[in-house]
Amino acid sequence: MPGGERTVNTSATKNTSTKRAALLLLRAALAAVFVWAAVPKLIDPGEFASAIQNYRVVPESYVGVLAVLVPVFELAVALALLSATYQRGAALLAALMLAAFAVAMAQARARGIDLRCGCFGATFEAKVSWLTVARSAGLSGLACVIFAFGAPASATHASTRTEPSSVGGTPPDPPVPSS
Amino acid sequence: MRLPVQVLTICTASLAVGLSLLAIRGGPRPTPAPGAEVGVCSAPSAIEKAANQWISLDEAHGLWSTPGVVFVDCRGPADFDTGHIASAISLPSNSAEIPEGLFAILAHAQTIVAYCNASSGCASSLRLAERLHGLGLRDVRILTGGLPGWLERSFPAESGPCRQCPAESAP
Repeated sequence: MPGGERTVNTSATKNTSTKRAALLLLRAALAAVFVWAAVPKLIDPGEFASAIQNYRVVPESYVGVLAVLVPVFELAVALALLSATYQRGAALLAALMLAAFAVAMAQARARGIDLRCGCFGATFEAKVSWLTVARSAGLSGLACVIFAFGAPASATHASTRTEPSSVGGTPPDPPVPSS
Repeated sequence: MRLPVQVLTICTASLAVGLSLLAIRGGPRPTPAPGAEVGVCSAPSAIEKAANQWISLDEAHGLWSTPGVVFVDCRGPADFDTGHIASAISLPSNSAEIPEGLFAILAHAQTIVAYCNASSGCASSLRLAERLHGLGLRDVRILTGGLPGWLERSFPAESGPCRQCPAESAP
């Protein structure tokens, strides 16, 4: 029945749009967190180097290098999260990075090391606690959600185009080759 | 774009930018923590309970020629031979044990000033200071800025093997 097809189509489109809007919101939120974390570290790398050193998990000779690479990496992940093309790769890297942060903080707490988090520079400093561990783990989970449900731009377009055919619409366009 | 390609692209781009920044600005030195802040940054220990364990370059220079003040180089023997604070003794922070003759010098010192490379944040100085505190030596200071800061100010320095070390402990 043509009217029924239109109803199904409209409903499916709405669901897809809602899902895409929610994912976009999540990506923007996570990207904002990473930018917020990266900028103070880039402004004052010495302070961040000091924070890394206090975790006592990185050899001293690598502290300076990490103090520069980590915020640059955070910034790159933030930008990539906002990109339709790189969103899943960025989400995967974000999840791994945040999980690593959570593990580093957890080991410090477990060893009784009382230290500053170093997460958002000196301005919004907080001591490492199980709350900061949970925060990193939670954000890592958020990144996993983006990774699981986010789709590359090409795949999203392809699925949108093929939906009508499943309910009797026009034949699907040829698949868009992934770049 | 395939997932591995996405990951690789992000990593490569970050690495390129990060290494360029390192080449331009150099690796940052950890900001030395003033004595009052050490307790916030690291595990509670004997050294953290001692007041004023950090000493500034100028203050250390003022003490340098004072009898009873011993400067201890915490770096490895090769680094020590390349250059060190004049009249300092070599005691690498990772040495398994402190030779008896060397410990006698330290035990008779009024003040011990430990130093290493500032680029490493003087964590090895902190470790050695903790160790010496554990052995009952009370006034152990850590030089803020380490050897690079000392040399930048053209304070007395020398190279070669440890002249002040007892024969059995010379590196």
